[in-house]
Amino acid sequence: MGNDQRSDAEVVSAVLEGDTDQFGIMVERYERLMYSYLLSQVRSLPEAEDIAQEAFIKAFRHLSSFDASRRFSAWLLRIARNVMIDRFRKQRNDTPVATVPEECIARMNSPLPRNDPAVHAEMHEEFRRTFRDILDLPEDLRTPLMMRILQELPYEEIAEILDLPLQTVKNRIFKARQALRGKRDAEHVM
Amino acid sequence: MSCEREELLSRYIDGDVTAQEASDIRRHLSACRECQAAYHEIQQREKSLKDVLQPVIESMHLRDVVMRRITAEGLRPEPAAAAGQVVAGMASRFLAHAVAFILVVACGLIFYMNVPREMPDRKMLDMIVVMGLGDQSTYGRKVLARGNTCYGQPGEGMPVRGRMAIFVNGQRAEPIIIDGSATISLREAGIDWISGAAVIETPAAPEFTLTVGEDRLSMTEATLDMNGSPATYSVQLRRGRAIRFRGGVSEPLPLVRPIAPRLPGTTVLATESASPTLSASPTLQEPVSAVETPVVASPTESLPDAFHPSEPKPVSEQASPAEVPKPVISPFSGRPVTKLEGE
Repeated sequence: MGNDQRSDAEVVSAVLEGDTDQFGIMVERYERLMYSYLLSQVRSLPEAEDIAQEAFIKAFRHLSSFDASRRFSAWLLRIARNVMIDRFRKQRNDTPVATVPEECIARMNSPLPRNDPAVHAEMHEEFRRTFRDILDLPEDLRTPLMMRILQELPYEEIAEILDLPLQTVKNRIFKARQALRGKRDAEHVM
Repeated sequence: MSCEREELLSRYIDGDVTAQEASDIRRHLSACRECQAAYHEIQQREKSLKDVLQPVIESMHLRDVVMRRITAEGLRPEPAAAAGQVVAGMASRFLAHAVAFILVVACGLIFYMNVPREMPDRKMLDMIVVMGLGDQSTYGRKVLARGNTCYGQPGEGMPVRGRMAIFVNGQRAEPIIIDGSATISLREAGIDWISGAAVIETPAAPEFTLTVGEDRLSMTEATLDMNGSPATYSVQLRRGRAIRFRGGVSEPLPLVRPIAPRLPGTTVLATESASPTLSASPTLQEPVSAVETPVVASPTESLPDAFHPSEPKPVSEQASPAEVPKPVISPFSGRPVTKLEGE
């Protein structure tokens, strides 16, 4: 999240007063949240990158309409959802299978040192299975789980972002984990 | 594990428990192997997700990309629409609409009359842009002199000839360079390959996707020789990294690797075709070992500054200059290829 201790409202205020560079702090603060949402919705990594970029640009341009008494994260993800819906409306659905897990592994292959290829391969396999299982979950379960895992958001914030009662968020994250375990157990039995 | 405990375990992992609940679950975990296994399994699975996704997200440099775009496009937060509301409150709805209409028309006219022609076109920042890099490149029926641009027509199969830069994300990112004679269809996030023969060079970021029928080739900082149509195509990776996705299965494309040179000062390339339909590929007619003349091409060469906000990429690793007795133009790459003596 960076070292800047200022609140979102303070940073937004600085941007609106003309210090546009400060918007970079907001991007850094919320890029993980953005991707935790998008990566479980889109079919490819470039698509997620495009939508994330577009959503932050839109947020910047409409920053004056941000209500500082609300959470920036909730406002930002509403914008991202709208960008995504617009995009899907325009595009034909020409990618039959989501390839995000494989693309992620391909993207991270080179920069990591490969001291132990076996550990590396095992980690990738676990990631691939986990991500695929999460993508198979219903959307109402996978979205809060991804937000919890990647951004480590508290339940209260997830509830506000998704406009859900707190207890519903707790239940959905629990049910998502339960479903993942059930799936893995079923694979072991087979 | 009972459902009640499983629910508590989920909240314990997320730190959403009271001190009493935390103490209870810890006590239970120390005694129950099944719950211990579940606890470790959940943690390991979620850690694997974070371990991969976090570096991937960092590698996208979203902050840099967004801030560069804000600067390049001269964006500013738009003021809140307060003035319009005041007018609407004071005047009748009809009057407000009429005023708004007149203002829009007037502003449009003023803008049109005063905007200098060399000012960056806002539309071009959001659309696919094609720029000629050769003397007479063509995109569809449009002839593009060096440095001339036109809008790409997304979703339409277009013949392209010559060398050109394609900005699939508007002008906010590095372009894809295509050189050859082919028919392609542009998309916002990539290109659909229809037919022809061309060399495609892609930047380091963002990742570029070439769709060939049911296959998707995802590549970064790569140079590809493409030939044929989706039913019978061949692809050779000359530089960088490319992964082919087919039916949910990924497969890295083999790089055309340099092997030990047979002649002093030459580099011999063992051509490994990744074609799914090798027999139909003209590239098979190429020598298995061939001397490549140097191909010096940077994805950003000859581009005006405004089109590549980041530093130009270094010229890729290419074969060293060779003595080429009888240059033959490859039907595959459009570049001179010479057989080795004794081949």
